[in-house]
Amino acid sequence: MTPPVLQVQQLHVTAGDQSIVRDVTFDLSRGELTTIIGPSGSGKSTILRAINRLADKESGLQVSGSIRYKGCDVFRCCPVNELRRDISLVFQKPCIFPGSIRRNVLFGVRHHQPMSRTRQNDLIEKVLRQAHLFKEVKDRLNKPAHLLSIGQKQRLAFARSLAVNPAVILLDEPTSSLDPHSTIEIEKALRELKSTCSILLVTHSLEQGRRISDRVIFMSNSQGFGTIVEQGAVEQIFENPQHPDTQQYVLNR
Amino acid sequence: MTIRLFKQRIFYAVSAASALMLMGLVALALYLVIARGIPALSFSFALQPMAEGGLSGGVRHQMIGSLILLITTLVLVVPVALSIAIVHTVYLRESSVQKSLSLILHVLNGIPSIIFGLFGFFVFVKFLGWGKSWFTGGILLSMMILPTVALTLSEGMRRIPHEYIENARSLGLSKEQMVISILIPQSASSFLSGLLLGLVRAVGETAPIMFTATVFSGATVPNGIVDNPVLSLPYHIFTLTQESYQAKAVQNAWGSACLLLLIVFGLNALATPFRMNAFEEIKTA
Repeated sequence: MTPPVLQVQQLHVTAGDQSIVRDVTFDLSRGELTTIIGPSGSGKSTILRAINRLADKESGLQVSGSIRYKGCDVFRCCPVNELRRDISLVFQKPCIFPGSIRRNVLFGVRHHQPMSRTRQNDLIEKVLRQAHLFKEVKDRLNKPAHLLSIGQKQRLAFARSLAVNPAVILLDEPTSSLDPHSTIEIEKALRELKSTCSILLVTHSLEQGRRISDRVIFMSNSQGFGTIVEQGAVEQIFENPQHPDTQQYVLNR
Repeated sequence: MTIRLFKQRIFYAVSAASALMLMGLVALALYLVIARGIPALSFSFALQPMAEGGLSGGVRHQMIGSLILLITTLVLVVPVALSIAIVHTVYLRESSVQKSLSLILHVLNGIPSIIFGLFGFFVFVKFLGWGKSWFTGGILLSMMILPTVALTLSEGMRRIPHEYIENARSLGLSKEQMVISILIPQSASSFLSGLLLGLVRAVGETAPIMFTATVFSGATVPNGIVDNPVLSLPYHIFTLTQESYQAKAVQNAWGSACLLLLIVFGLNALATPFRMNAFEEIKTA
C-alpha cells in the first residue's frame, strides 16, 4: 500500500478565541478523489485554506496540529511558495486576471520556470484539454479572458492551476455557480486527473459527491465548530452512514 | 408647502450657491490670467530669452529651468514613491508601523511649501555648501509631492481586488512576483494620475525653490550640480509682479502666468484619462 500524499492530523483552526475547525484528521492517498461534504459553516473551505497555508499566512488565522505533505511537515520544512505549487487551490468564484486566455493559463507557471514559446503553446493546449476547455477557446487564445462565460472562466482557473503541475489539487465548490454543461466538463476532468493527482474536493452537491468520489468526509458543525464526524468509502457514507448527523444530512432522516 | 419640502429647498439653495460661488471665483481667476496674459503670448515670447530684466524678450530659459526641475522631480520621486507604496501596502499590512507611515505621509502632505524651502536652504545651500542648485530644487519638490504620489499609488494598490492577490499567492507566487505581476500593472493608472497631479503642484511652486534652486536672471542651462541655479516660471512671475510699477513687466508676468497655466492644464489633461481608467478598473473589478 502506498503511503498517503497528504496527512492531516489533529488540525485546529481558530480565529482569536473562536474555534473554526477542531480535531480534523484524515489522509489523502495518491490517485484518489476525496470529497468533503457538510453544512455551511462546518469549516470545509477553511481546511483547504489551511492545507494551502492561506489560512495562517494570508487570513491571519491560528492553525495548529499537523499537515504532512509527502512526509514533510508543511509548517516547518516546506517553503510556502513551493508548497503552493505542489498543492494547488481552485476557488469557488473563478478569478480571471486582466489579459488574454493565454496569459491567464501561463500566469503562475511563467514565474516558476522559463519556457520557450513552443513549450508554452504545448503546455497551454495540454492543460486546456485537461480542463475540457480547449475546443471552446482554441481559436481565441489571445482574446481577453473576461469575455468567457462563468463556466468557462472556472475551467480556465482550473487549467491555470494545472499548469503549475501540482501533485494535489484542492477544489473549493468549483461548480457551485456553474451550468450543468460546465459542471459535467469539470467532473470529467477530475475523473481523468485522478490517475496523476490526488484531489480533495469541497462540494455542497451530494449528487456530485456520489458521482465522482472515492472517499467521502462528512463534517458537522453541531458543536459550534467544524469537525469530522464520519469518513469512509463513498458507498458507506451515502448508503450506510453511521453517525446521526451524517444520516440526517445525507439521508434526510 | 410642507416644512420638510421647505427645508429641502433651503438646503439645495445653500449648496448650489456655495458651488456657484466657488466656480465663479475660479472662473474669475482664469479670466484674469487669460485675458491679461493672451496679449503678451506669442511663439517668440516662449522661445526668446529674457532681456532688459524682464521688460522685453521672452521666457525661454524660464521654461527650460522649469522643465529641468520637473524632470528631476519626476526621476527622484518615482522610485521612492513606488518603494514606499509597496512597503506600505504589501509588507506592513494592517500593522502599527503602517499606520505610523500613513500618518507621516499625511503630515508631510500638509507641511507648507515655504518650510521645505527653509529646510533646503539650511541643509543643502548652507550646511552641504551646494549653493543654489537645480538638483536641490528637484530634491525639495520631490519631497513635497512624495506624499501625494505615494498615497495615491498606495490607495490604488489597496483597491486591487483581494481575489487577485489570493489567487496569485495560491499559485505559489512570492510577494515580489505578486508585486511585479499584479500590484504594479493594476495600479499603473492610479500611479500616473497621482504622479501627474503631483507634478502639476510642483511646476507651480515658488517657495521651495526661491532660496535654493532658482534665480531671476543670469542663468541659462546648468553645466554641473553645485552652484548651478536655473530660471523658472513661478519665480519669474513672482519677481516681475514685484516690479508692478513697470507696465511692460506686469504684462510679461501675466503672459508667463498664462503659459504656466497652460502647462498645468496640459498635465491635468494628461492625468484625466488615467484617473478615469483607475475608476473604471474599480467598477469592473
